[in-house]
Order: sequence, then C-alpha cells, then structure tokens
Amino acid sequence: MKLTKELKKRIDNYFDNISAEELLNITVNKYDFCEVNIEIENQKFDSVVKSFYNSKSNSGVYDEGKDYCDYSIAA
Amino acid sequence: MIINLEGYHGTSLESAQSIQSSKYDLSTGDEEWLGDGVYFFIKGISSKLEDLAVKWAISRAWDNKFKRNKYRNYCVLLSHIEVHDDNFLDLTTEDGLDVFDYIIDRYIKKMGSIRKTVKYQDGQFLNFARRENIVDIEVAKGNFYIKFTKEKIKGLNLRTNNCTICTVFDPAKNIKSTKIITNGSVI
Repeated sequence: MKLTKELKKRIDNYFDNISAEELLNITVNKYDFCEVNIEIENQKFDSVVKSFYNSKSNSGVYDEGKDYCDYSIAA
Repeated sequence: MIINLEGYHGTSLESAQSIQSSKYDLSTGDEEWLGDGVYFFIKGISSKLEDLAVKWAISRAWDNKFKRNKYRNYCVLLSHIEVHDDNFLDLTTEDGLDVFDYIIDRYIKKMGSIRKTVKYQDGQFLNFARRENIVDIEVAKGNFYIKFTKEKIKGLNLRTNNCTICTVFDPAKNIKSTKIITNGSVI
C-alpha cells in the first residue's frame, strides 16, 4: 500500500466530510480512544510560582580535584 | 500484484483442531498490536518463525490468575495468506508508514481544530481506519516486541522489536490454506 494521489484523496475526503465533533464521538465511543481532559478551572490562576536563573548557582561541571560537582549556569 | 505470506500461528491443540475443521477466530481488544484479526508470525526480523509460534503457544497456556496452564498440548499452524498489495499495509516499510502517518496527521489536525487531545494505540487506530473505510486494509504487518514466557518471568519490557507479525482481518478471504505442522506438550 502506497500513499498514492488517489489514496490521499480518499483519506482527505473522509476527514473533509466529517465534523471534528463527530469524529471525536466515533473514535472515543466506537474505538475506545481516550480523550485527555486537561482543563483549568475558570481559565485563571490565583497564584504562580516564579522560577528564575541564578548566575551564581552551580552547573554540572565535574572537577576531578573535587569529590563533588559544581553546577554553574551560564547567564 | 499479489503478496504471498507464510504465517505461523501458535495455539492449543484443541483450538488448532477447531481452526482446521472450521475457521480462525479473530483476536479482538484494545491491546492488539495491529487491531482485530488473526495473528501470525511472518518472515521479517526473525527467521525462526516456527520457534516463535511455539514460544507464543506455550506462553499463552499459562493462566496467571489460577497459576496453572489452561492447556497441556500446543500446536503450530502454518497458513498461506494472499493479499493484493493495495490492501496490504506494511508498517515495516516507508510506504506503509507514509499511509499510517498521513491518516494520523489528518486526525490530529481535526482534533486540534476543537482543541482536543486524544490517546490511542496502533491497533485501535488501525481498527478505526479500516472499519470506517478510510483505507482498504485486509492484512497489516509490523515489527513488535512480544513478551514470551522468559520475558514475562524475568519482567523484561524492552523496546527492541523481536519479531515480525501480521494480522488478517478477514480470514475467509485472505487465508488460502492451513495445516498443523508441529505439536507438543506445554510442560
């Protein structure tokens, strides 16, 4: 089986003539596809955690003279 | 062009006798590698097809729930499979993967248009593509990692494929002959 122009057209025809909602319904209910629901309530956050780089923190450069690793991040 | 395949199917002696006198039963379920159908070991990354079918029949005998074998004697059936290349999806080739990837891409884009993410396995997607008549697949082929007795006992779960299998969706149409070639005791 090759992806010939005819086969591509047939595949396109299927997807062009079905609504996304109907396709979802068929694949989930008939073929047991699993819908992944990741919803954020109210679409807003009450709080956030701020992450930042610290140029004085350490990176993974191993020095044979030491028995630990330095972790300096280039900033 | 007609594709000819020699497929090796390991099962119990009882099932083998039933298959010879009537027909194969389809394997179904979400966990099937290439979707619903009758499964065979075929030539590909392994040439020891009879050995694979024996290992499969022996591993399938064990009932882990009741800690005993479901059957004492196994059989290997050899079936001759015929399929037109237009109806043969070979996922070990670039041509086959192109077809599979194109259908998946169209599906993902469609789901993206309604901001939906959906998870599925190869077999489920092939069932969908075939049963919805998106493509006329009669036989599908792929390389997979299959757990036999050793893999189950040792808890091995590798990603390196260990065999090539095919599934036949309509045995009455594509399986032209079947004969028992090996039998033996599970224990």
